[in-house]
Amino acid sequence: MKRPPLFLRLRIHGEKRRPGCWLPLFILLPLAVALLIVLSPLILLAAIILRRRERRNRKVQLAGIVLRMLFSPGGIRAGFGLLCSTPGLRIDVSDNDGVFQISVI
Amino acid sequence: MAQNQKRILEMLANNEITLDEAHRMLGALEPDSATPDIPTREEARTVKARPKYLCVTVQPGPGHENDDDAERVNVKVPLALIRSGIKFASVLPRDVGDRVEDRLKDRGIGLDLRNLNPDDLDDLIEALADLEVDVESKDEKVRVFVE
Repeated sequence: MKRPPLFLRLRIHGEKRRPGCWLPLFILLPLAVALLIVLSPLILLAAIILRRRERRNRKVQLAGIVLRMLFSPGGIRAGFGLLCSTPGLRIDVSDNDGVFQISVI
Repeated sequence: MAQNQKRILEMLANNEITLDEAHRMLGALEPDSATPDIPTREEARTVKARPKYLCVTVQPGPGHENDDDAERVNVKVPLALIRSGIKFASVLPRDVGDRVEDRLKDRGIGLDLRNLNPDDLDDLIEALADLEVDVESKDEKVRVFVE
């Protein structure tokens, strides 16, 4: 069964050891969705403005593409599917200089 | 089931049904004829489990002098993420998709983003079950596999 991720475990440190942090995605994601719904009129307006200006700047171009994908018919469903596929993802890179660990639970 | 068999035999003994009818009724109660498609335990063991993760590991090789300063990489990517990524690529705006395809074509990769079908990936993912790549050099040992 597909479910959104519950936690994101992040651990980044250099030579000096630091504890990792656990981000409770099951709290943060609903908050982000609520914020997205509240701000959706502004986002839609930004998408329209960026569409007119997007040929000038690459960053603006990228932001415009992301916004257009979010507001496309299948965009939200595909984005949610992508999010639900992340549990189990684990990236762990370590060497003498430090550690980078990210895992989605 | 044993009760049904007993009842059929009783009916046969009382001459309520003929021998052929009893044979047919007993045959219908046989577990093998009722569920012919269910694999036996031995058959089930031979069926391979569907792979779930693509794993890439980099470990220090046998010739590495100091294991403590060696770079170690351990990446585990759910295969469902690849399938969802393809679905996500299909919602790319048309003009953006065209531009991506043009860039890929310039680099010699002919990929049609609109014809990517996540269902076709299932065959590929099943085939990946046998994938195992081991590259071993003096300094590094790289392993790519699915589990």
